[in-house]
Amino acid sequence: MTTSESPSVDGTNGPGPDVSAADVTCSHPSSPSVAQPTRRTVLLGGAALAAAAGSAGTAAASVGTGTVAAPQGQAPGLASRSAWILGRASYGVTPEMIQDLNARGIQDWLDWQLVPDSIDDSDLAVHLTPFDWIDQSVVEMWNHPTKSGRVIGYEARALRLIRATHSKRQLFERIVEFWTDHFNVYGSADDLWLLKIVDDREVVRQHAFGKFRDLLQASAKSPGMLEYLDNATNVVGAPQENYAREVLELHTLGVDGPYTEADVRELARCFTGWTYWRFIESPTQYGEFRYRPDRHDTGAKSVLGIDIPAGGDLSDAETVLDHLANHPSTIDFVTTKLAKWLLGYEPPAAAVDAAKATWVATDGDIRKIVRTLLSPRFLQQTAPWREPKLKRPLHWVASLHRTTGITMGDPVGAVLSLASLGHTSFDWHAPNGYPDIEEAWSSLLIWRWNYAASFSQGLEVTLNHTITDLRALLGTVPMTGWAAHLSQLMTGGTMSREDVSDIQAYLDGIGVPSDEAVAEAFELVASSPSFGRY
Amino acid sequence: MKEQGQSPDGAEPRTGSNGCEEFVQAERRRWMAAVDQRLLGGAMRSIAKRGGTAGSAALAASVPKVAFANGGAPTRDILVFVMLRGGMDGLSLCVPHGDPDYAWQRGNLAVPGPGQLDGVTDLDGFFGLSQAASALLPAYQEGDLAFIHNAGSTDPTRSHFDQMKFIEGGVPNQGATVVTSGWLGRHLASTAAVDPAASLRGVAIDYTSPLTLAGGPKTLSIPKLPQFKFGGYAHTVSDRKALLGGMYDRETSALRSSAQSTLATIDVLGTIDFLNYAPSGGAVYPVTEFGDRFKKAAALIKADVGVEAIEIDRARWDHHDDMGPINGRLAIMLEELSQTLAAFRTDLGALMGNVTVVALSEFGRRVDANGADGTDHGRGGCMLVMGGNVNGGQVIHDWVGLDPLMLDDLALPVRVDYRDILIEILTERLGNAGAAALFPNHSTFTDWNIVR
Repeated sequence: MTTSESPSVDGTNGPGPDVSAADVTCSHPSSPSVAQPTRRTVLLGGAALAAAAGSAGTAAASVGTGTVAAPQGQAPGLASRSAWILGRASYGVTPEMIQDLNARGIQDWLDWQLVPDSIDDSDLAVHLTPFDWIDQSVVEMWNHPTKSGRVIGYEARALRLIRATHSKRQLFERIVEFWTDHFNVYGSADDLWLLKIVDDREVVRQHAFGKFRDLLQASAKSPGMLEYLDNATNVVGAPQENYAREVLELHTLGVDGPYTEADVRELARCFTGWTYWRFIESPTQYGEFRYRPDRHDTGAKSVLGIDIPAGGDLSDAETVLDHLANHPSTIDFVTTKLAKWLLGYEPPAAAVDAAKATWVATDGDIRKIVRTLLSPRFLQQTAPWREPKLKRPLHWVASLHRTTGITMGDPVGAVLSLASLGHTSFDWHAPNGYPDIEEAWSSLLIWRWNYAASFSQGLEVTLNHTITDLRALLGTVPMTGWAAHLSQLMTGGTMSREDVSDIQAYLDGIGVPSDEAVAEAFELVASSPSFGRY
Repeated sequence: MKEQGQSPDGAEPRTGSNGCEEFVQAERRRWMAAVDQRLLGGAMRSIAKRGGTAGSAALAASVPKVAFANGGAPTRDILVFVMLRGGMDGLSLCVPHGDPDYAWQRGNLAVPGPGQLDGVTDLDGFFGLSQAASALLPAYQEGDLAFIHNAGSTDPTRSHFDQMKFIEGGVPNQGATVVTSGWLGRHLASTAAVDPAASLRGVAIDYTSPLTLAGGPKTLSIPKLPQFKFGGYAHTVSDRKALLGGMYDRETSALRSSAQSTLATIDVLGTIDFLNYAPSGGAVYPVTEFGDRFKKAAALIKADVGVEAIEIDRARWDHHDDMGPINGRLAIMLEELSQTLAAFRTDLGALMGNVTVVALSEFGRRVDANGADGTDHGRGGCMLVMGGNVNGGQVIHDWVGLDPLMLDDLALPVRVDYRDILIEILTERLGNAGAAALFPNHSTFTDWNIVR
């Protein structure tokens, strides 16, 4: 762990640094030197983005090369050396985000992101119209007039990518992804196609910024979880321990936590009778939680030193879950994992400790725990050039799409692209969720490179843009400035200076700003290690 | 039977509280004697074989063998490793139909004995092969396949993820929380490449990278071998590869080595026509992802590009619910596994003389059924070892019986340490004289004489 030697950035509670202060203390040793653009170029850059975004549909089809011009030699987007902070709290840094950051300052930007309901997300709404089932119950989706459960399931995976790409509630979406893995429910089988969709909406998204206890209790009663980890068939007399084990090992205490095999079995007894309504049992209540007293073990139990008296009911397990929710081992395990998600594979102990203290002080308020971890002091200590993380495929694809403004013409097809990269949402079968370590993903570079190539040539079958649309994003920037321009456009200028200069040298070798050169410029930036990092 | 105290790492079934120790030991001795009686057909044969080959000293703890069986040049097999993730129920694959405590504990999940409807095919008078796995009978009968029962990791954890970490990392019973390399990766790192020009020595045919291969030089995970081609404009391929190589060379850690291996391997795999590959000998692979991956592995082996280790995993063995060992979910998976391995053996033909396949799961499942027609996490499982130089046609085990008193907290105890099986194979068949050192802090080696 490398720690910052600069003490100038305040911690969580003090007044935060403004962006310029962060700029001074957090200068990226290898960030490219680009001209400081003006606010006007931001707007122009935004227009260029809109052109590209619209090109997938109809509105901006007429906007072609040169129609939208950025001032020569200037990159779109205000340069901000703090852009990397945005990278840690989003699916990719756009010029618009840098505007927001510069307008608000880093502390305010983070606070703003932590209240997603306050963020106007109307731009996302236009992308949601295909998903007519978005607020429906399992029964309603089951009775959908035109879509099978599997089709709705595919659309739900596309929706994850669309939200990651287009929502302005970027930090919220990142935290949703974290809980999606933490409380993993495989969603590609039988009833789970629909049950996972409701789990995503009513457990993960509902509680992602709430109290951990509420998230845990909701997950335990989620029909998706009950089906996936088999508690739906956990009955008195011959309990089965699948969920009871994983809730201890993966959701709360952690595998090194203070529990025994006996605790697993006793907890399994507590959960007997927790199930959900099958279609065959009730076509109108299908997919809702159901507690069956006739299947509950009412004997006395002892779990983790807690004596559960005989004669209990649903409250047996609820009592244990409440105990688990704020157990010191849970706090340690979950906070550390969250710190790794946000701050790097080896987060500083001080950050974990501070977040644990926040957990204790706030009764496990996830919003406040995240806020503590994302204090500028810890962000600075774990800046990407100190603690680089590798974008997982969903993150990487979303980065590419959102920073170029590309809209998916066929969202469901785009899910197949994500499958080729190994990272379809709701599709990890083991209960531990998709891994978040570099070694798990680093072998898959060639699939990213190939996606970058087909994307850049306009050949990706699920996307409707052309090379002409990408050329519009270059404006009138001379070819000698393309690499730096794209670093600015696609990463907020956070690519390493060396990567930018290598790509520029390659482009200089081409010399002529042909369509092929345009495509390769985008391809190489997207394929570069520093675009893949955050 | 081996004497007490000689089981791997001295790991013993739980003995309860100290006050019960003596009683339990006495009970164990009584049952051991009874079990010996029961197993005259099975266990005694394998013990005789062990004794006959390696001498009586092999029955006791011994040091790893370093000499090669024939004293000739080191044999360097290709190892195909299969991690069966989720806890494969070995009792439903290689069924102890001769154990009187099997059927009653399994209830309606018990696989019937020989001669009954859906009954097993007897293997040795005590164990029988499930009908679902009958595709493996020829390999067994022709001496290319051995089952190894009550095998696994000596670590007591029943967590999937900890146990996989310990098994793949090769570090059971060490309380390791962070494990960064695997036994197979370390094997590759500690041996010279068979083909010094090889760009790819180890490959997992999968998306994510298994820990088993971590730390190995020139290793990659490749989910789709035929599509491992470099896109973009064809006439700039070499220039773009050079550019990417330069950029990724500045990276540290996994990203750099993966990029290097990727760039070096593109052309090698590009010469192999995976899509038009025709298996030999009439072999028919199941039309499943797992079957297809073995088919691609066969094509890769025949292309002879210097690959030494291939990992192909199969997950979803965690049958807590509705297990279906006879014609349900587990049976379908056992069928796929066995048909795949059988097709692979047929396809490779004589090449099996230089290939060893090892399949194992992180643990077996509890002997008793739960109330959901499933089984919960257990301990000892069943390994499969297949190859032209395997001492096949036998079920190797150190059985103590399924009487609940003999079980390890309701599960089959682990009495064959998976590390010993791997050490022997790595030593004898993969030419690694230092194979034992791939498993740190593993000082007691038992030679099970699994390969020639």
